[in-house]
Amino acid sequence: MIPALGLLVGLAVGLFLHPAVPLALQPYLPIAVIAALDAVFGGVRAVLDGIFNDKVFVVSFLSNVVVAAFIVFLGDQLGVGSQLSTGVVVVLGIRIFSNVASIRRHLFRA
Amino acid sequence: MTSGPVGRPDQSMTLINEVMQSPLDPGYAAAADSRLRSGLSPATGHRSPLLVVMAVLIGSLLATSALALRAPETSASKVKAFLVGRIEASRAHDEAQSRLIAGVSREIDIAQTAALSQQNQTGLAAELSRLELAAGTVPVTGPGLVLTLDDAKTEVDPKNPVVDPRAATGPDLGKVMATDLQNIVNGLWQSGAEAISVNGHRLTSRSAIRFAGEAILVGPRPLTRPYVITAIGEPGSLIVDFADSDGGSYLQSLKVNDKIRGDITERDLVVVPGEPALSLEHARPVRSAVTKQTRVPTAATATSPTPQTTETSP
Repeated sequence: MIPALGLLVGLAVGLFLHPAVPLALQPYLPIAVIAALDAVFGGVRAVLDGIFNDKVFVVSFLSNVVVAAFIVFLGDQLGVGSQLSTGVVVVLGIRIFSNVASIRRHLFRA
Repeated sequence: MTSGPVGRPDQSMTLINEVMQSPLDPGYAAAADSRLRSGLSPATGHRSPLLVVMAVLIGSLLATSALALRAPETSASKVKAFLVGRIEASRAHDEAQSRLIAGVSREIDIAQTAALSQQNQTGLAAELSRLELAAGTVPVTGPGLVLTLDDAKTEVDPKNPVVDPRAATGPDLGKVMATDLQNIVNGLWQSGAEAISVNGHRLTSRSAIRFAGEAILVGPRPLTRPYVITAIGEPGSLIVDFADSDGGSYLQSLKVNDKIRGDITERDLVVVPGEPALSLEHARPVRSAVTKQTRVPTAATATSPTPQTTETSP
């Protein structure tokens, strides 16, 4: 409950403060969002499995974001940034859908 | 991913299996195991400050990304929206002004009639309505004909379905041109038509039928196909005379040679609308006995801002 409230507070902060993102960081934002979603759904699934661990959650989120950003950065240097972004999105998207399917089984037994 | 003693048939797809079957971080299971071993419950609480900070961070990340990456309006789409807005505003303004003109000219008519009848100038009133009728500023009705003209059907010739791509660049013979309308309208005048409108636009002494780009214009107004020409004239003889006239034979050749669709029907009663915006800015009547006579009543000046031009009064 409290983390959900924190999420809402964060959304409100982002919406109202409207922080300016440097242009150099903008290509990494979509990847960071996907990585964050992956961590969030993985955390929710762990809560439902009864094995949630806050340290693992934080570390998985940070490492997801860092590795995804690094892959995109590397791709930009090699001239295949958009392809590698697509790869990251596909892999994390599959993980998100699998986790959501597991959450769905927990919640609706279906 | 434990492989059996025989070896799984999908061993070569370990990457896909890894992705599909263990989407959860193994870290959660490992952490739970170690906590169980040390005698704690497998799950930690959801209230650690670290977790809350993380949640706030993720929320702000989502909001910031959405705001930063939302496709901004390009300057082209902005300009387009601006132009569309201006066109719509101008159109609304045009409609409002047209309604205003119609209302004011009705008032003018009423005031004119009142002023003329007050001064017992009934002869003048009759003269005025006769002139209005002839000038085409009031709607008229009577027996006549309706001529519908449309482009040739653009279907592929069944005998020769291969269309020459270069043929499309030449002038399209199956398309109704302004010249066609001019010739037909002239033929109708020639055959004794008394009032003609094209697509509801009255042809007056100041109407021109011309081309502008792809569209045919009557006066300033563009027409859309089909082109419906309404003419009032003597029943029976108008349609026969038109068929005999140059315009009639022109229409016939259009139908035969260019496959343009033309259709004439005779009607007992057609309505030809008036052209209320007809006014002369610079033309002045030649000073003669007739015009002097119409300028005598000063009451007419009350309804007409420029008494010198007898045309502006209707």
